Order: sequence, then C-alpha cells, then structure tokens
Amino acid sequence: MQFKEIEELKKLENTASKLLKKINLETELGQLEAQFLGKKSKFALISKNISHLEVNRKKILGQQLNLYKKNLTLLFSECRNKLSELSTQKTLANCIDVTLPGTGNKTGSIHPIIQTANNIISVLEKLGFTTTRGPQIEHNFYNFDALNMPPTHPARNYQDTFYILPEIVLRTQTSPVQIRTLYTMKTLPIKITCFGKVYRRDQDISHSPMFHQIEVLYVDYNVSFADLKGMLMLLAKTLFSNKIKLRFRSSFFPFTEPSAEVDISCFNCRKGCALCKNTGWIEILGCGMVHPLVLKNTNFNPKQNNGFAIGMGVERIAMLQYGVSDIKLFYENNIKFLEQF
Amino acid sequence: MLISFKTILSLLNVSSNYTFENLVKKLISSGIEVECIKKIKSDSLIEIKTANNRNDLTNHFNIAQEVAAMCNIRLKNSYLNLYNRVGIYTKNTLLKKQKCKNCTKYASIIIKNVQIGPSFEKLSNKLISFNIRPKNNVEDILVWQKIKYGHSFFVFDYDKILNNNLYNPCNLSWLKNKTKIVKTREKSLRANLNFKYKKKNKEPKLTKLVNFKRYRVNDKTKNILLELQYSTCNNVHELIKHTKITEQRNNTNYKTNKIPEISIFKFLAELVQKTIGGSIEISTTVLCKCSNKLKEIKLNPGKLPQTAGIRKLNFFKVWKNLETLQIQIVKVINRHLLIFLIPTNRSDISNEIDIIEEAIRVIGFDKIPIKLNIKNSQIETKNNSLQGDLESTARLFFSQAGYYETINYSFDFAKNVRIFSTTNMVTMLNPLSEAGSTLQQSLMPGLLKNLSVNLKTYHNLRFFEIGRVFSYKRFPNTTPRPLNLKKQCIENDSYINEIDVISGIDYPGNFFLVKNILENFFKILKIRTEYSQSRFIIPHFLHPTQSATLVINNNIAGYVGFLHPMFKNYSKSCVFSINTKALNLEEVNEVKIKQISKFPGIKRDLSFITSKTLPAGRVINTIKNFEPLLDTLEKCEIFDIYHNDSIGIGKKTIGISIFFRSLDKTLLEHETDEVIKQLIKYVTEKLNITFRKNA
Repeated sequence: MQFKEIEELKKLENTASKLLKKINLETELGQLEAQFLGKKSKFALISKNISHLEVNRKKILGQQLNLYKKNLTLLFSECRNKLSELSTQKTLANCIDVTLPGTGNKTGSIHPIIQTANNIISVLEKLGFTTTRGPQIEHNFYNFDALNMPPTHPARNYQDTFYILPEIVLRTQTSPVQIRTLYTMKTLPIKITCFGKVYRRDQDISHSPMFHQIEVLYVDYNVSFADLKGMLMLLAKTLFSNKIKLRFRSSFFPFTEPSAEVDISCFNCRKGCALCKNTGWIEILGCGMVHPLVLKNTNFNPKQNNGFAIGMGVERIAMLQYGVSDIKLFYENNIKFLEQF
Repeated sequence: MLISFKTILSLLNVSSNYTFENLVKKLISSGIEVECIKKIKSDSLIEIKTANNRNDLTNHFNIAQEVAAMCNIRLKNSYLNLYNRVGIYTKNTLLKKQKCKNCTKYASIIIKNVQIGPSFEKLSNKLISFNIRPKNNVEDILVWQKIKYGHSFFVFDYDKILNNNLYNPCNLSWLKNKTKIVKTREKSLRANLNFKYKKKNKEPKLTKLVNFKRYRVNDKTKNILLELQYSTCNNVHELIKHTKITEQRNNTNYKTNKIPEISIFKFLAELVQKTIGGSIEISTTVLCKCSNKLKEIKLNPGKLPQTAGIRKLNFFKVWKNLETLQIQIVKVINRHLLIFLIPTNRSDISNEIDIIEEAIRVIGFDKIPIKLNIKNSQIETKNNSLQGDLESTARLFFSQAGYYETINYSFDFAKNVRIFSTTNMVTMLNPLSEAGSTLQQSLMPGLLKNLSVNLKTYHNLRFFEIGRVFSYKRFPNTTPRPLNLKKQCIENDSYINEIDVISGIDYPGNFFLVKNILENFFKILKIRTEYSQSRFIIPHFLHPTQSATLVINNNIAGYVGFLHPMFKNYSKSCVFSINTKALNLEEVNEVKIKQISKFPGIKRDLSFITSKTLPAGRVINTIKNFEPLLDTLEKCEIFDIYHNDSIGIGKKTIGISIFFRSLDKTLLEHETDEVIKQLIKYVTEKLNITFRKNA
C-alpha cells in the first residue's frame, strides 16, 4: 500500500542525506535540522495531519514517520560528530606544541653542597643566628689549644692535619670560628653559625681531604641540653621530614662536654636498607654543651654562662638528601651530575 | 674490638632471656659504636669501636660494667672456676714484697711442672672466633684473660733464665735509695716492655734491672715465669671489688690485700695455673714510691639538672648507677657539694663537667626533655652578612646566566699553581701527595680541570666557582714561635692572606658576551666598573690583547678576557675573576631616580673617524661629560664600528646614536642643531678625531 505521504517522506530523507554530505559548518546543520525535523517542516505537517486518517493508514504512516525521524536523527548526529571532529582538528592544527623544550639561554645550577648548606643556614637564620666567617688557615692556638685539645691529641698528628708551618694548619673544623667569635663578641646571647671548607688528611670513598662544615654556637645564661635537643629536632624536621626521630649517642669531643652524636631515623625505610646499613638510623652530626674550659679560655665565666655547639658535615647531609653514594662526585664537577640539581 | 655476647652476659646479673638486641641498644646509647655483628654457633660476636678518650674500654669486664650502669643492673661476681682443672694444685706460694706502699713496677710468679700442650677445645674455638690463632694452653689462656679482664701477662721459659736469677739485687738497690721515684708516663709504660724513665735521672730500663734474657715457652718447657708489667692493669679496683675466690687459701686474702695490683696478678696467675696445671712456687714484686692516689672531684649536684635541662631528677638512682661505674661519693660536704672518687682507669674524668657527662649518660639522652627557648640575638656582623649576600647574589646570578657552579680542592700541583701565581706560593709540610702540595692562588686551575672533564661530552661549557685563594702576607724566614702564643694569635692573626674570589670560564668564549654578563652583575650590585687594557696590569696568563682588568674605585678588582695562547686547547676560553675584597660593598652607589620627561625627544646619529687604537668608551665618556648636554642627554650608544682602508690606514669609524629630551619643554630642531655643532667641536678637539657626517 503506497501513500503520497510515504513517498514524500522518502524523498525528504534522500534530499536530507545529500545535503548533509555537502555541509561544512555547524550553523548550517542547525538550519537543515530545522528544515527537515523542525516545527515548520513537512515532517511536522504530515505528523499533524495523521489524526485525520483512517486507523489502518494511520498505523502504517505512523510507523513510517517514526522510521523517518529515527533515520534523520541518526544522520544529523553523525554529521554533527563529523563536523565537531573537523573543527577540533582545525583548532589543533593552529596550536603550538607545548611539549617542545623552551628555547634561549639555559640556566646553570648552584652546587648541591651549597644548596644543602643554604637550606640549613636559612633555618638557623630564622632562629636569629648570624652567619660568620673565619680564616681557613689557622694558628694551632685557635684550631687546637683554645678548643681544649692538648698537644698530645691524636688529631694534631701530621697524619691527620695538614700543616703549612709547624704552628699553622689548614683548619680541621669550623670550631676555631667559635673561639674567634667568643673573643670578639661579649654581648649575650651569642648566636652564630659558620659555613666553610675544612681540611683533614684523609681520602677514601666516604672521606675527602677537603669538605664543608656548618658550625652552630649558642652561648647565654642557663642554656641546657634540652635546648640543644629542641633546636636539633626543629632542624632535622625542616631538613628531612616531620616524622623524623632523633637518637643521641654519647660521644667525645674535646671542646664540648657532655658530647653526643646525633642519628636520625632512616627516612628511606622502616626496617633497614643500604642507606642506614640495616640499622634504621643515620648519623648526621655531632653536638654538645660548650666545655667550661673553652669558655674560660675565651674570658667567659663558665659558672654563669654556658651554651651549646653543633658541627655537621654538609657533604654527609647532601649525600643523604640526594642519594649520592660517592663523595668524589661533588668535586668531579661533571655536568651530568651538576645539571640534576 | 670484638666482644662476645655470652661473655658479657656471664658478667652481668641478668636473666638468661636478656636479648642480644637489648645489649646492642645499650652499647650504642653508652657511646660504643657497633660496627658489625657476626653470628657463630652458640654465640654472637659484636665488633665495637669506642670513643678515643675511653681507653679503659678494652675488655669484656669494663664493657659489661658500662652496660650494667646504663641498664640499672648489677655486675656478677667473677669466679675462678671458669675451666676444668688439668694439673695438680699446690699451696707452696711465696710472696716477696718490698716495703713500699705504692704501685707495682714489676711482679712475677713462677709456676713449676706445667704441661704445655694444645688448649682445650672450648678455649681454642673461642680464640679462633676472635680471629686469634691458638698456640698452646698457657699462651692461649693469657690471651683470653686479656680479652676478658684487660690484663697483659707475659710468659717465658723459666729454666732458660741464667742461674734462675729473676733480678739482680745490686741493680735493685737504686729503688731503695731513691727518695723520689720519677712518675713515669703511663702511655709509654703501656706500650713498651721497657720502662722509659726521664732521661735526666738516667735510671736503668727494666730489662737491665731484671737482667735476664727471655725465651718463649714451647712443648719442652717445664717451668714458666709469668710477668706482670705495671699499668697494664687499668681496672684493678673494679676487679678487686668483684673478685671472689672460691677456694680461700691460708696465707693470702685477696680482697684485703693493700696492694691491689699484686692481688689481681695472683688471682689471674691462679686462673692460669688452674687451667694448665703445675704449682705456683715463687712470687716477686718490685714496687715504687710514686703516688698513685685515686682522684677526688667536687660536684655541685644542682648543676646536673641545670645542664641536662631536667627539672625533677632521681639523684639516688643516678648516684647508684654511677657507683656501678666505680664513680662513688666519698664525702658529702653539704647539700651543694659532694666529693666523688674516680677509679684509676678513668683517665677521661678530670673535673666536675666530666662527672655531669657520666651522669647524663647514665640517665640517658632520651630522658632529657625537648625544649626550644632560644633568645633573640642583638648581634649583627655587617661585613660578614654583606659578604654572604654577595656570594648568594653571585650564585643566583651566574647560575641564571647559564653557569654551573663547581667546587674544587683548594690545593693542587705546585706546577699548576705556579702558572697562575703572582706571589709566593703557600705550600704544605705534609701533603697527601704531590697533587695537593700547594694552596691555590687562583681558581683557574680547578676551572680548567672541570673544562677538561666535560669537554669530552659537551661543546659549550660555562662554569663558575666562589672560593678562597691564599698568598703570604709576609714570608716567614723562620718558624714563628711566639712567646705568648695566645696574645700573639689574638693580635696578629696570620701570615697568610685569604681572599674570596668569584671566577668563571666560558668555552668557547665571547669577550663581549662575558663582559655583558659582568656588567649586568655589577648593575645588580650597584657598583660602577671600568675596564682597562694596560699591558702592565693584565695578568700574564691572559691574552695580552684580548683581555682587560676590572677597575673599581681606581683599584684592580679582577680581570676578564681570553686565556693566553700558551693554553693551546683552552685558549678559546673566556675567563673572568672578581676579587670580592676590592668590591667594597659598604660603599655601593646609591640609586638616585631621574625624572621622566613627558615631552618628545630628538635623536641624532653622529659618526667620527678615529685612530684604531682609540677606545670607543673614551668617545662615549667625552660626549656624556659635555656640559651643555648634561640635562638633556638621555641615551648615548654606539650603533656601528667600521674598519676599511677607504677610511684611511689605521683608522676606524664609530657611529654613535644620541637621544635628547628635556624635562620641561619640547626641544626645537634649531636649538638641538646648535648644541650638536658645539658637541662635535668639543669632541673632535678634545680627542683629536674627525667628524665624518650626520649618519
């Protein structure tokens, strides 16, 4: 059974599919959709007039109308997708490739040891510590005598210390700066930090004849080991992590008493790894209360004043922070190493 | 040093389930480094390292004592019946003593009818686990007692001693006659068999005194001589206290013996005798009058909580644990003054703070609370902070400019340092090798080394270093030996100058690129710089015509330029160096803002023909200093420099662009032209150059 309306619908469908192939813009698609499926379209007119038809014809024409609508909706949606894809491709063609590297002058880098030292010093400066300096070539007096190291002390041996003249040495620690500061500064509290190169006659995988140390000195009235612990805890948490734990081990330094070496809980593992040598602890620094004899040597009254001192090897901390296994890498200055910082 | 877990445990009064981990933990907290742990059949060996002031911690007994104090536990009494008896025990012991109250110089015991042979298996295995090769039963037991108690005995074949004379009475007479026996140095005593007395007194060595040759024991030895050298006993008092002899003998009471060294010696000799058999025959003792009193130290107990930062402290517990370390209160003067007696083996305890340290160790560092109560400081060291600022600025600036910061050793081969040296070189008396014998006088050798390392993989390299260079302030002819060392040090710091230097290298370099970087750097620092090319002040290692010295406030502050062609492979390197001392950061130029004009300006391009040798900078400076232009000159720049024979041989053209602008009016063409005419006349006359044309 053929109707005029059905033929008309088929023609409309053919026309629509032909027109859709030619379309390039989304606005045109909208107009075409209105023309074939809109309220004022022929499809809408046929749908409106269907109610006047007989039941049988109504049924057949209704089915055809649904089919027409379904087909056209599918055609329009396909076309819409196609157009949107085309437009995306056009936009992408105009885009710059942001994954390409930047051009122009490349920056260099600050040496990792200096970066580590700066991190530590910035924490100390926030606590009000002043950065001081001192000579790297020291007299025995500043490097040993004033630091309560007797003439027979093994560190004074020719095997351990570089000598320029029998009484002039390359400083073996930054502690002589403590003595120079205590001589010159008489206003309490004394709060200084010193960063610099130190020299020891030693060379292997974990020792270098030249390395860097940071010295911290705090002298005032009623300073206790508890203050020292507090400061170290703050320093360790800032440098490593908030979950870090500290362990103090009794030790011996001639210029501090009581003295301790400080370990931090390994931040790399829970039970043991190569970094902490399966102990769960990593040694980071030495510290202690300033020895009364050192205060006496520098004209302070140890009965009234006391203080604490901290000394840490920057290379050691940098090695831990950056996972460097050989200390020599810091002094080879290979760009492959330096550019990572 | 190796220690055995089981041996330590045998000395401690702890239950059998005391764990190995607990022991290691306590060892570490008491300051003993645990370096390695080795498990053997039924025991664990711990390799430890002690602090260098604790030379008493050389045996199991003393280490057990440390652990006991840290753990708040007690030591067990030591018994002689450690091993099975092998020989027959006799009571014929003779003790000869000089009438002298003080310390032992020499003691010997003869054990007769011994059976020399291999040690019993348990002892041999023990020694092997300690990496010691067993020799025979007598030497092995002596080695073991040294490991356990720390006492050195020496054993010899008695029958080989001439006439069996242990000592020559004639030689000993000096001991009786001397009113003052020299207090010998403990260190040398410990180290040597022969006692070293002060040379002045010319006293005989012990070998002469005893007057016989010694032969070691072997399988055929029947009778042995055990010798004790004084000062090897460093824990005498502790051992006396904890030694309990199971078989008390008629003529000797070890506990009440007034000369502890002798009793200890006898105790240990008996240990040997019980192990190897034989009978103790003769004992000989030589004593000296040197006073070997125990040290007494005063302590104000209030200082302990003050130093530690602990408010409430259980003093009773602390003193009791100190007693385990044999540091005991002998007198209570009042609430604020106690007197402690220090054992002879604790040479590290000499004053009040040492006792406080021991007490803190016994309390435990982990018991000390954490507080942060650091007062604000009023002290500022301006010079230092400026230097620090300069270095951080330099680091940031040069790294942003593409330079990698390097750190090189401060010392090098003398020949490398000499190339860049201008003054006397500072050399070391004991360098590690020739490669580190001389302190650097320039950072260049290090930077060149960095270049050579990286040239294999990179073609464009930029490095900078901030470091110190060293030179003699005045060269000392003789070793300085100040009479008043302290005063001399404080007043006159050093013979050596130390200067902080910023140096850089650019390979392959471009002089003007590097100069531009330096200009920008000094602009940030607000420092005016000039560049001079005088051949007399350019360092000898720089290219004579392609380098310049940096002048700040009429002082030479560094250099910039290409390296001398003698550096063949590196002559393309453009280097710079800035002496930070010459920068005088305290007198930096303050910025004064110029008013910005809202009126339009006028631009003129001028061209001058000059001699090739005339620096363009002089022309620019002459224009800038022309008075009628001072208020209106906004910019004066070189836009071209042209060389051609058509201009004239040895001549060049400098094109200069000048921009005028007035603050209060629009400049008129004819006014400007008039000033320009005057300017050209001024410049040409002053510099003796020719004006070419308006470009």
